[in-house]
Order: sequence, then C-alpha cells, then structure tokens
Amino acid sequence: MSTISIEKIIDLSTADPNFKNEVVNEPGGEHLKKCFQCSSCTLTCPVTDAGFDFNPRKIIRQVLLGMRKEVLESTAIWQCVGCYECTDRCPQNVRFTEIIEALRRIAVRNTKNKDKKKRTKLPKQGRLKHSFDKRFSESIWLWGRTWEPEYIGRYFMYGRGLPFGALIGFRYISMILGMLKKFKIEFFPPGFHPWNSNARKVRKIYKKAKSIQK
Amino acid sequence: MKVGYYPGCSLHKVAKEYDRSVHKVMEKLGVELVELKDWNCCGALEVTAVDHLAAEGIVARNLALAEEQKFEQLIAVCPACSYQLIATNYKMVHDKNKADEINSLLETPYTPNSVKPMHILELLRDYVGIEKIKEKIVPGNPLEGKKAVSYYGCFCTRPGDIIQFEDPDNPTFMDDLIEVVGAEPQFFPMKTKCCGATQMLVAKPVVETLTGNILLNARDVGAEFILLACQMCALSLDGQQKQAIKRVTDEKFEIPVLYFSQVLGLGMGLDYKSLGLGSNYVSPKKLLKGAKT
Ligand code: SF4
Ligand code: SF4
Repeated sequence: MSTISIEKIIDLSTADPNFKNEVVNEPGGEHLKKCFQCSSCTLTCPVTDAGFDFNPRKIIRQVLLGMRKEVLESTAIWQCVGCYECTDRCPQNVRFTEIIEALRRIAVRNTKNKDKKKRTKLPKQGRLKHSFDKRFSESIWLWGRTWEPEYIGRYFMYGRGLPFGALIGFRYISMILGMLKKFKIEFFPPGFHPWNSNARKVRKIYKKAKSIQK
Repeated sequence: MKVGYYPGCSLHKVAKEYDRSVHKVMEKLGVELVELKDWNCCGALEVTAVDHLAAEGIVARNLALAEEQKFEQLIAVCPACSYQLIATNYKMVHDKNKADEINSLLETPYTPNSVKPMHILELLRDYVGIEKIKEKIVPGNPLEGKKAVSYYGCFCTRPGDIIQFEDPDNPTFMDDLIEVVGAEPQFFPMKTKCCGATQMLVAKPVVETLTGNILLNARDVGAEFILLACQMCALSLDGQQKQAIKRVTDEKFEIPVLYFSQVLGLGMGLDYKSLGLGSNYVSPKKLLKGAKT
C-alpha cells in the first residue's frame, strides 16, 4: 500500500482570488472553471508519463485557488509540449492546452508589470521558450516565412543569455551536423526578401493585431 | 483533380524528401498539387504564444488567398500547418464575432468555409480512396511482408473535435496504407503519443525521453520500420534517434523511419532517388535490399 503524504500546507492568505478571472478573460482560458479535478488530463499527459515534474490537474487547482505567484513563476507551465491529448480526453472540455498558452502569455506580460513587487520572474525554461517563440515570430515578420538558420541562430545567441551562444549550443551540435550532412539547412533561401509581398502583408497583420489589443 | 498545396516552411529544406515524395506519389495518383501563391508561414504553435490574434490573422490570410485563387481544397503536408488552417477556419465558422475580428486584420476578407483545409492523409482517404491507391501498387516491392507500425503523433488527429478526421485514440488509415503495400501493420499503443518536437530546442531531455519511449515501444511490438506523416516527428524519431534511445535504455537498436509517401512510392515501384530515401537520417538501405536504386 502506498501512503499519502502532505508535502506542503498551502497558505491562502496571500492568494489572489481574482487570478482565475484573469485567466478566464485571457483567450484560451474560457473553460477553466468547468474543471472538476478528475485528473484524466494528468493521466494521459506524455510529459507526466515520462516522469517530469508536471501535473496539469494541479496547475488548474492552483489557478482556481489563486496561487498566482507560484503558478506564473513555476517551470511547470513551460513543460507542456502542446500535444492536445489532455484536451481530447477531458470530460469537461476544459481545453488545458489553451489554458497553458494563456498562462504563458499572462506570465510574460507580467514580467513588465509596473508594480515591482508583483512582477513575475520567468524561470530559465520559460525564458528560453519565450525567446524561441519570439524569434520565430520575428522571423515571419521579416521574411513572411520562417528561415531556420536565421531565427535559430539568433535564439542561440541572445535567447540562451550568452554572447556567442551559437558556439555554446553544443548540445545541438550533433543535430546540426546531421542536418548539414543531409543538406537540410537552407543557407540562402530562394525567393526570400524582406520586401516580398507576403512579408509586407504579415507585418501589416502584426501591427493591426497589436493596435486592436491595446 | 486539382488541389491547392500549402507547403509550409519546413518542406523546402528540412524535409525535402517528404515534399519530393509527396509530389511524385500524387502525380501517380492523378492529383495535381498547385502551390498556393504568395503564402506565408502559419505561425505553428509559436506565434500564438506571443500574440494570439496576430497568429489567427496570418493563418486566415492563407485561407483568404486560397479563396481568391479559387481552390476548393487546401492541403498541407505538415500536420501543424493543417491544424492551424483547420482550426482557424473552424473558429471563424462557429464564432461570428471572432470571424469579423480576424477579417478586420486582412486586406481581402475570408468567407468562412469557402475553402476546405485538410491534411494530405484526409485527401488520400476521402478524395482519392484506398482502392485507387491499390490499383497503382506493383507486386514485388521490397517492403512486402515486413512488419511496420504507423505513428500519427499529435496534430493529424487531435484535437478531435476540431480536426474531425479519425478516431484520435486509434486512427487506422495509415495502417491501411501499410497493408496496401503488402507490409504487416502491428498494434502500436504509442501511436498517438507526442514526440515533443515543439520543445526540441528548449528542453532537450523532455523531447528525448518522449521520443525514446515511442521508439522503445515500436521495437517491442516488432516494428521493422515506422511510418509517419509529419516532418517534426521525423526530426525527433529519425534525426534524434540515437540520442533518444540512449536516454531511455542501454540497449542499442535502429529502426528506419519513412514518410507514408515514401512507402507508397516504393509500393508503386518508384526508385530510391526520386523518393529522397537517401535523405533519411537512419539509413533504410538494409530494409530495402533489392529496391531499385
Ligand atoms: S481532465 Fe478536465 S476536468 Fe479532469 S482534471 Fe483535467 S482539466 Fe479538469
Ligand atoms: S498538451 Fe501539454 S498538458 Fe496536455 S497532454 Fe500534452 S503535454 Fe500534457
């Protein structure tokens, strides 16, 4: 028989009861309150399966309880690989994958909070993932399509927080060499120009979307 | 039959063998793939994380282009692209306000549902049909009698309520494709488990563990090769195979990973080179002894 241990007693005096509403108002978080904590999501999640510290059900509970700081600064919200298995399995149609996206956007936005005390400090994995997402969308802004050596190069340089990070991305050396060997890296993409019509139109969309959401 | 073709960013170089083999096979089946003019990236899962509205906008632009260029079907070969196209169309059909908001970003608005976006497997199943594929298969191909598993990954079938293609728990169409070329599909429990490729450059250990578990399971059910339909899955299952196996077990083994289009091509008697088989990371040479080279 296994024993149940209480890891930590949750102190709710510092909780923010409005946090759940903030999440519900963020696109993707609409169905949060329908969760009845059945844990189907956790049982089906491949990341949990593989033994990483990640529990979708727990994240939802924490949000509902208003544990704002704990959730937004946790590595957990950056662990999800976005496979939609939990969304598919959920009997309540909570759409956890989209909730995770909403939480990530809230966390990133909150890094620029004017009130210093409330500001979120992203964990390392969060900084990396956000930097990757950013480089990716900048690449589309610039070329209308993504161009791997350009945005991944920039990701290695700035995203990993080191100058010449490209040299230090040594964990990926074997992968990059493998791709080079098979001629799978596009050094000079044909027909790519920042002044291509698709790039110009993408920029317009980005700009308009930004102005609408202000 | 003429259909719109949305290649997506990775097909031109990272997965050129996929692109090439798809074209060859579709040509044989009498489907003409016309590339969407002036397309832009669908944003995959990354742009949504930065700005969700802009992400929907750039996908809708592609749909509007397809409408303008008068395509009835728009197919994507990358499941992430097809998911984005399908999901945005779905959202615009079911939510009028959302559709107006997205259309306000575009120069030429998109009329929801005027184009049917789908993954190429859906086109093969519903518009070409397994019978027609069967007609084109020639006897005596090198895959006959080999054991194989089909690997779907995430976006071919999920989220089920939006994609509406196959049973998200146990999709079977790719198994039919294995049968068509004369190989034997095996029951594969990890068929739809994610390989984690979206975190490839962020959290390598996660990706390697997920991928390693899938490969281990494939070996356990006796697979001699893996069939898939996603270039991101291929990047982790094929490109990262050695590292992934090393992370989950001490044993050493190798499983060739082929795109479904390459397998169909082999079945149709196309040669090694025109299917780009030399570009697969794990060499399928041993598997294909006796194939035309
Ligand atoms: S499966 Fe759905 S209802 Fe059940 S715990 Fe997860 S999110 Fe909540
Ligand atoms: S989408 Fe994220 S949380 Fe849901 S099952 Fe996949 S990895 Fe787990």
